[in-house]
Amino acid sequence: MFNRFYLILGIAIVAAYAFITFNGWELGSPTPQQLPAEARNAPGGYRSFHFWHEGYQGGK
Amino acid sequence: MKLSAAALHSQCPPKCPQCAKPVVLRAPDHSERVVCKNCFALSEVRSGVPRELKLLRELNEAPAAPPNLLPLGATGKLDDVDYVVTSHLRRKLRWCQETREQDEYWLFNQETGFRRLLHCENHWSLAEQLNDDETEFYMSQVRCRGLSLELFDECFAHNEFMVGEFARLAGAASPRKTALFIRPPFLLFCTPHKDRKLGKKQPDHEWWLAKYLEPQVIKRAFGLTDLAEPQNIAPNQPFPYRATYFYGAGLAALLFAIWMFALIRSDERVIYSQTMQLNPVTGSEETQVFFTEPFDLAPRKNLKVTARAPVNNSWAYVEGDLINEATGLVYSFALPVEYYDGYEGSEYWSEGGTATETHLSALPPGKYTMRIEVQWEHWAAPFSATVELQQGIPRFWHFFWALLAVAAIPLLVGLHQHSVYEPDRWKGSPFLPHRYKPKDDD
Repeated sequence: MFNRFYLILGIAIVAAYAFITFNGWELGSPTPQQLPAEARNAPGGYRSFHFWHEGYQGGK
Repeated sequence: MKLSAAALHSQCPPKCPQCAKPVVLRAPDHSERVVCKNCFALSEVRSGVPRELKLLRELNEAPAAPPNLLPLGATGKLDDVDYVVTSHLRRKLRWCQETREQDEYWLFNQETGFRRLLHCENHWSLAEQLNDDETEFYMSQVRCRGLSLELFDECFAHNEFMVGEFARLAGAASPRKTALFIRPPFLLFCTPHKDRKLGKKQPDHEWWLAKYLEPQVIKRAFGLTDLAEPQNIAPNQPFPYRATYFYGAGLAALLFAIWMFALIRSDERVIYSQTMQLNPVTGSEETQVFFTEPFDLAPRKNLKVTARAPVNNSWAYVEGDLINEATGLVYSFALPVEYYDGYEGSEYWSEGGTATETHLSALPPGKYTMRIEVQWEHWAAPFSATVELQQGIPRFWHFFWALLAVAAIPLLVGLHQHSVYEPDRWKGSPFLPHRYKPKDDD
């Protein structure tokens, strides 16, 4: 029973690895955000849009 | 199953010399001893048609019959061979530390001859007799049929109860010393020939090689419905999780093959690389923003963004957005670049570096523009930063973590086998191998 459980788990790990490798997946990638339609249609397009960044909070 | 000889003798069975009741011989051509099931007298089976029985030992009082799981005449199939149960024997095995009772069922097949089905503390093993030249002593081991078996223990075996047909030596009534050698699932036991006569060509020892059988196999073979499960570890019981080693090796090989295939087919390429010269800004929270020319991204290939900046005891912060020109979807990332070093007392220390990278999942194929926003600590001075975007990067760490995940269980199982299971198997043996001895005993 345990051997079978391990075999199934192992196959799942190998399958997940193959899927990630051949689809270019990265763990922890950020979810995409949608640029508002008015920003894309405005003169200058998204170049004048204020993106969502908050600036650096670190440093020493 | 060929039982023609048995059929012949069943029509005209020999009579017990003591009680004169008919004695059924299921292996008339192979049996040399028979114990009458009515009076338990031991007789020698003599050649002739029909066979004749010569009384060897009378019994005035019938012994108490132990529970018999496989009655005489029961049939079953083991390893694709049909057997009939010809006898039942109960032995008392006296070890140096304990005494155990073992039941033995002698099985017979016309082509393979006798086999002994051993049943001890709910463990089962099927044994076949070896020729003397099939075994070879080597130090405390015995080599046979390509196996090296380790000496496990020595015991005295005493027959307490016998009924049915046996080969010659099983009829010995006095205790006989038996040496046991193991290499799970195999158990080799060796008994010196007690009635060996000088000058006669007769082997020194009688060797039997037994292979462990799971109780379920016995259940299926003989159609038993209820069979107790063993509660301890038999000397030749195979480690139950051994299969995880083979599965683990197979899965690791599969992972390695996938990793190699991914390496071979990867076409790592630089999509964009630029060093930006940044002019001073008017405040510490001010940033400079750049947009790249549109570029194409291929499907199902991951991305790697690297930022480099000549920081020294300072920081720079690069934020980026990959903007899909067609859909307006924005994929953001941030790359803090910082490097600090110095001395604490006389000891040099450093942390960080002048380059930082991040990996992003593959994006939907299409035309993209990258927005880069840079902020740096010494904002009043000119600065430079390099941003590079690559696609199709083989990821060794994914392979490593997958390999570790696959290997974790076999490693834990191996640790359990070495530190718990095998010492438990050997705990009653005076020949405990050095590898299983506690370190305190070294």
